[in-house]
Amino acid sequence: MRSFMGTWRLVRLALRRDRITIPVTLGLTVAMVAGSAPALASAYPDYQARLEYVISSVPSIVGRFFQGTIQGVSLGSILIAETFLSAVVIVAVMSIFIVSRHTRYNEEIGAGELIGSMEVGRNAPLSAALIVAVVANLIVAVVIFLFLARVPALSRTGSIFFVSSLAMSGIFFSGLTAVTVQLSDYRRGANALAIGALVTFFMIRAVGDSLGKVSLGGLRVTASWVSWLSPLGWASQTLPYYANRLLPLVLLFIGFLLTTLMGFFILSKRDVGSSIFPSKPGPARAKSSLTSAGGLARRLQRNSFYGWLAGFVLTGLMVGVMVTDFRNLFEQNAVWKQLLGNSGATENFTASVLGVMFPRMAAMLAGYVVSALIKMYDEEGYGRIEFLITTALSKTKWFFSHVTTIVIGITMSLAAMGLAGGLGYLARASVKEVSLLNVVLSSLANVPAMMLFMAIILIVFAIRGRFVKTFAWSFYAYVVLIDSLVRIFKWPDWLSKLSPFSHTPAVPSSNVDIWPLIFMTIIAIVLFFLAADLFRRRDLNLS
Amino acid sequence: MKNRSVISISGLVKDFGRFRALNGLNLEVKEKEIHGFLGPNGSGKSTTIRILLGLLNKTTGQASLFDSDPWKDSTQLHRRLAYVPGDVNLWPNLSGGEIIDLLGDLRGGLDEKLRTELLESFSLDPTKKFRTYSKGSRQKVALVAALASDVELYVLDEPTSGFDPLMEAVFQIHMRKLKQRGKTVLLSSHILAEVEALCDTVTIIRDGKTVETGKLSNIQKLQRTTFRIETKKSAKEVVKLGGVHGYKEEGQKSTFEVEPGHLEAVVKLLATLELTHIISNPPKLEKLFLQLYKDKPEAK
Ligand SMILES: Nc1ncnc2c1ncn2[C@@H]1O[C@H](COP(=O)(O)OP(=O)(O)OP(=O)(O)O)[C@@H](O)[C@H]1O
Ligand SMILES: [Mg+2]
Repeated sequence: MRSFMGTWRLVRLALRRDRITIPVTLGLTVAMVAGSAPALASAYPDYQARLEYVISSVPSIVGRFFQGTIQGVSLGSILIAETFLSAVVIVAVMSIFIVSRHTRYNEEIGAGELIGSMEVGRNAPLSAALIVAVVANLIVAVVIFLFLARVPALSRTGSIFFVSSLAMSGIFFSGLTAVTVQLSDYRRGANALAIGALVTFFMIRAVGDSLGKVSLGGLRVTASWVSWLSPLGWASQTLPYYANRLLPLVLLFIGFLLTTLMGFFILSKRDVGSSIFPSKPGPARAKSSLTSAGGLARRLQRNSFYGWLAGFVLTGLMVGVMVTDFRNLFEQNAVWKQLLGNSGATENFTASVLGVMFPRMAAMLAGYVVSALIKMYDEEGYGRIEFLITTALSKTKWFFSHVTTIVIGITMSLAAMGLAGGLGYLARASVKEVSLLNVVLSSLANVPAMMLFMAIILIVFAIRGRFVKTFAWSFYAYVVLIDSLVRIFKWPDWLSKLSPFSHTPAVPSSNVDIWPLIFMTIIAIVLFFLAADLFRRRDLNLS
Repeated sequence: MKNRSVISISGLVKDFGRFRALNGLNLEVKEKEIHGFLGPNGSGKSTTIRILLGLLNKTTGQASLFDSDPWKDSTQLHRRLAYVPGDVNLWPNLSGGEIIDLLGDLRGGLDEKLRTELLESFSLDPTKKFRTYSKGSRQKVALVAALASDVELYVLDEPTSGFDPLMEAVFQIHMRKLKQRGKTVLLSSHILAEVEALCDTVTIIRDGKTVETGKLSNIQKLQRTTFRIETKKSAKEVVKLGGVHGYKEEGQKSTFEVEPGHLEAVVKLLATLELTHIISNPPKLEKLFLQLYKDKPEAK
């Protein structure tokens, strides 16, 4: 047990270092779930209103994909559809960050060595990190429960299962991260592995839920067995407020135990600072493709680009394959008719669906732009820019080396999403309403919105570099969530119009409104140059 | 000296918000000299250097580099210099060799022969990923990248703070080579022995102000010389002469310090005291340094 010595000291240290992160995540999750509950209760006050919600949601494949399966007519079932999976993703990400930060990141910056030489055992940092993660999840669960318990239409038992399932998901991912931090030898790698697993699990569950069967007279969906392959599937299969199953919680807990044991096992076999996949030596000379501003920018952006590219391709494929399913829903569903009618292209069904789906997917995948811009800012934040712009490279050239790389990345990703979508569509559809080129164009129509999104963040970067991370993630959360928030809380419409993605027209269609595309492109380019100039004039952030 | 100025700074002020980091600083570096730039932690050395390189904009005052404005013409100026920042934080995933080539190419190409020679003499393995280097090796990467370029001016901000004595010696050899090739160097350092060994001129700053500048030999001349003597007769009499400080006596041995203008009188007196042993120490930079830093600045 000596190897666990000092754990409590490290727990206290970690809690102190996380005194901002944990409350912020807590606030975010609580606000989302606990804030939605009363709002939903007043938006769907009676059986009739809830019934309408359920009837329109049950057949929606998109709904199943992002919100899971609907379980009967109740406020709880609506609450779950609107908040559960997003909350799970948030606590999962929080748990991943907590564990990697207090283990691998410490080793990376050398604090691990310091801690290792203090009176703490070898296993103490990982145990402390896990304890902090578990405690953080339990706090989230308790606080949310206290709020939910005050909504009369939600059963106590149901709420207990809701929050337990949420917390167990977070705890599961902290266990998973206990393994990934042993595998990669620095934090980004460990986070990327864990988040990759999260995305994969989300997708598996999404596919499983989408393949589910409608039952109970069209009021609930039974997920297919595929969902049971994913821990996120387990989390939603507790079916709070409907079946309140215990088995999935047990599965999550076993998963946590096994991954944690594995994490400690690998830890016992490796040196401090090393990993199972240690870094290999690099080349003694640089290739000529590296030794220019653009070459360096491409090299720095490369790995995360490939990761996101996979996300774009998967998303495209999913949209393409599912377009055909929409056709059937469309025939029966007035809500969808209305939604698609608004997009301005009713004569070609497939084109309309793509026109609705692609901008939403693009908004979600704008996370690529955020992470790429943060990579760019890190050059300044970590002081590496000091080496670069004291060579013959100017600040402006440096700035555009990244901007161009990212714009090309955006174009390639959206082209790939369109291509995958087109191929998926053609493979599945019996009647070909649109050509491959049409689908690709429909996806590429989001390039201007994505560029504008990027340009707005760059302005903040150019004015106050330090703020860029916070701003970029907040703006991203905004474009992803605003549509749903406007719908749930009945906020004014112009709030969604603030998102560039709401201005992408449906392409292809006979009456494409091309002007938004042109305007957005022009504004984005003007903002790029403005940002370059502001950046040139400001002091660098040097520690 | 007829050499023209490479760096010329006067009355430089830099504010960070309300905090005044530089407060009327002066610095003059002539062509072909190695200029030591000294000052306690937080006195503003790195800030001065960053203004000189156009990384920060000055608040007021004059700063010119090769007779141009470092903020406006930074890119053209950067072609003529190589810089090693105080914090060496580079791309964790690139190898040392890749970083050296990258920075060299961005600077307009590096001298292959020098590159090989520098890697050899600093015994730096270029195939390691940057994140796996030790502190000293990280600094070597930055230093090799800078020294492998053939430019007019080298700006080095505490380049050797992580070096072992062996590497320190190698560093000094390379600095002397630069001097032979007629290069100019601005060397900020806390290692006084290094400054004494290498620099022709020094500037010492404190709280963002220049407190001492000039040729090292001239500055040293202004300082007190320490005497350790053994005499048969008591040497107490020297205290009566002007400019003698800190007199201590222990049997036949005594020690004291003498101001520069009073040496002759002291030596004449000593000759009359039946001197058996004498050591006179030239003023050490360290002493000067401590003297300048310990005095509180005059109250305003
Ligand atoms: N970006 C900044 N914002 C606010 N204050 C700063 C900033 N950069 C430097 N300072 C302050 O300016 C002063 C001078 O810092 P500088 O880094 O130039 O000192 P230095 O002489 O290089 O010290 P050291 O010997 O420790 O390297 C310090 O008090 C520092 O805290
Ligand atoms: Mg400094």
